[in-house]
Amino acid sequence: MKKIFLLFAMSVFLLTSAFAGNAKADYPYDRPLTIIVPFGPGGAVDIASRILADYFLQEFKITINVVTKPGGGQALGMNEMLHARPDGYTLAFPGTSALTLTPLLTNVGYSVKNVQPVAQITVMELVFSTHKAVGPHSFADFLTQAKEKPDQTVYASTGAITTQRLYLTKLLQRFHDGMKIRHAAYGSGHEVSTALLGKHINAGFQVPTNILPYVKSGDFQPVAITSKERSKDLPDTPTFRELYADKLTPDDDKWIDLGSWHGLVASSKVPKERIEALQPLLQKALSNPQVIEKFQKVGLSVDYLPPAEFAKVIDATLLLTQDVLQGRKSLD
Amino acid sequence: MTDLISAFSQAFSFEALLANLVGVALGIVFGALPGLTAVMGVALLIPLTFGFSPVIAFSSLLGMYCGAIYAGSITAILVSTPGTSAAAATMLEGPKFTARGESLRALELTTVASFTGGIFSCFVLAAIAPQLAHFALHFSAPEYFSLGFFGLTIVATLAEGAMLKGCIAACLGMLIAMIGMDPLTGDMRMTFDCPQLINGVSLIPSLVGLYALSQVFITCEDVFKGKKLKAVHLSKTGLKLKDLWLVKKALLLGSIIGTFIGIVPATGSGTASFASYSEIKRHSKNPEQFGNGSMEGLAATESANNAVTGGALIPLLTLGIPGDVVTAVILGALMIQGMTPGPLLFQEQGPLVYSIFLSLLLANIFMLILGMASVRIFSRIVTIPGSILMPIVTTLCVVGGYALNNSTFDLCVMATFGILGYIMTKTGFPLAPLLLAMILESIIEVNFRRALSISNNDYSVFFTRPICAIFLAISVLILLNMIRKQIMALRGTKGKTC
Repeated sequence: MKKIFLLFAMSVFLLTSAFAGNAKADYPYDRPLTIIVPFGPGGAVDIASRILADYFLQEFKITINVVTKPGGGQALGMNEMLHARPDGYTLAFPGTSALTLTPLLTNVGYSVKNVQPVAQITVMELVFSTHKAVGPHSFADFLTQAKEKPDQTVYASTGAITTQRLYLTKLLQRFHDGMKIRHAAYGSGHEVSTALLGKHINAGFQVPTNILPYVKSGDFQPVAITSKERSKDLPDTPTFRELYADKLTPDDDKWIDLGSWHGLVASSKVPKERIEALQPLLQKALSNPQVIEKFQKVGLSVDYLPPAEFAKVIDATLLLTQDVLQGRKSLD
Repeated sequence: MTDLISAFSQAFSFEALLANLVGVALGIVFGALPGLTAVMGVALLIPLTFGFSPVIAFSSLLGMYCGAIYAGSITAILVSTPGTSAAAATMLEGPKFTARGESLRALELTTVASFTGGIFSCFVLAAIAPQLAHFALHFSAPEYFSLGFFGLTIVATLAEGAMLKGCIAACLGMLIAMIGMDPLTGDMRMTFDCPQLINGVSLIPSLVGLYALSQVFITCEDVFKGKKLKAVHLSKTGLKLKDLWLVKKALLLGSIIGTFIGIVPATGSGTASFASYSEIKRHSKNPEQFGNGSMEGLAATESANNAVTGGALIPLLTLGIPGDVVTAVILGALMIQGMTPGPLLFQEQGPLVYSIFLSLLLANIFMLILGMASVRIFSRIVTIPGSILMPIVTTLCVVGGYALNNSTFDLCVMATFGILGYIMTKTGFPLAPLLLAMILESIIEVNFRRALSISNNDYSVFFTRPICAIFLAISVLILLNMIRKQIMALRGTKGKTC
């Protein structure tokens, strides 16, 4: 009997000491992290978060819970993150519009000021493409066509007000006297691709994942891309930076390479040192070849940026949005 | 030929068969629980398939897809709780069987009809996928609009006998579906500064509330009034071969309509099952049986919603375009496995594509076996007294409704629709038109306006495009015929209002 009691006491002691030891481990090793994905399950961001969670568990023994919370133009997921205790254990993984667009259009209960960047994870370039059999085969030709036959020229993107549409509007304002090109809004990148495949629209402005299969099969002609250098997948497609190289001013540098970025953010109340503590881990995860390979399989590149750099990207996007919208709530 | 042999050996390997079977079993659980959907099941399964070889991964995913679409009908028939939007059409006939004590017969018919639809679409997929896929490309905004508009004429069939109330319910449904961010201009409509409403009212919680919770409220009322809940007499008669022969037309029609609607991207099994119900009712020799537990009606809805599975995979595999929400999630899984769905998939990954066909075929066979075995147990659920069953149903609805988007707001939506459904049932408004209008509104409105924005406000696009014009003409004919019937009925009853 005594022995059993002793054993019991020992195990209690061991257990408590184990817990005590755990509690001493510093952020972020001591408790599971939560990443709130403001998109539906099964999407690229959801999968990317799960790839990261997998790596964090194996490499750092940190559990990451991935919670999908779609809806409200990402506002629901963002609010969920902002309502959690600001201790750095709850992060969100939004895309461009959650921070720089939706809060400008409607009252979502937060603004970009309530949020601080943790790390940019991935950037999707925006590719302007036409149908190869129909043409036009260059961006300049497309603009000529739009000028000559405005009734028959329409391009499409994945919503009413998208980064793509804001970008093109800015581009036309800046270099083409605010010329207007008609825009058709679709629900998803697949729908835009379908419409372009069926030749129902003249051009689509989309992320690479949605067009690469059709470029490979010879259906689509990508005519311009928003990135600093040419894309590895589309070596023959000129960048917008190249196309307007002679007209660029230093001010244009801020927006001419903008893509659709996605990254981790936290509440602005989270202490800075906790955000810093995450950096080496994220850096290591995002430079791991296996993680990069898994990202590539779902069509994502790895574009890690530390908080300060990511903040600059967010500011530049916000500036572009405010500049184009000028307080309006619609582009039509 | 070597492609085919290697596809066979992969799809029939032990691991793939096991994955397929487990997928179907999990799918049946997901489909049967109200609120949990096929989309969610597939999405949750994907991370687990990261490490598997493509064929095993797809066996489990397709199994899940088929199983979940099929099993939504089980709870719809037994406890009037549709688990998926496809199962909402099952509600038109299914529960009547249960009330008659024929739940086993209804469930077996559902299983066989789902199998028929699934297998039919599977063969269509394997035989003429590439040719059919290009048909989908002819569908632009005007065609989608006309298809949706045509779908609205189904309200006439659903609301027979209470036409005015049916139309009011449909208008209310359209109005509810308009809540949220305007899909074309980005303006907020009827959101009252509430961020939860930006994406509109979620369909699944409203569906569950409308049908299941309202039923619970009605049972509660009965209990409070002191009415004793009748224990349902359970008949052991199952499905007979003769029954199947009688509904052969319904099975075929359901399979064809389901496959067709599956191919057309951005529609789905909800639309398919309502459409085939309406068609079979129009062509049936016994239209008076509809609404009172018609075998034909049930066979048509069930074969249609499973025929969507193969149909929706056609544009996915041949063009890289998902035919419905579930296939959109499966697209993600394909990419993780290193395959890029698109025009080149057949050429580059021949064996894999064939083994996907085979897995789908196997999934349907497993669905038949597992379904036939489990309905014998499921059908006894109705013998559980209402005072125990109803709280269980409510709990499952709430859990499922929350789990869908991790959203407490959805629970409020569910409760609101529960009350709405209760009031509508009490005042004799049919529920189905409201739901159908909610499903169709997003197709009709968006594509009407998108068509005009592409054509620069030229209304002639709706009449000059052949597919679009045909659909619109049929719709107008149905409408005129309906008005004619109403006038005849009015003359017959002289002075009585409808």
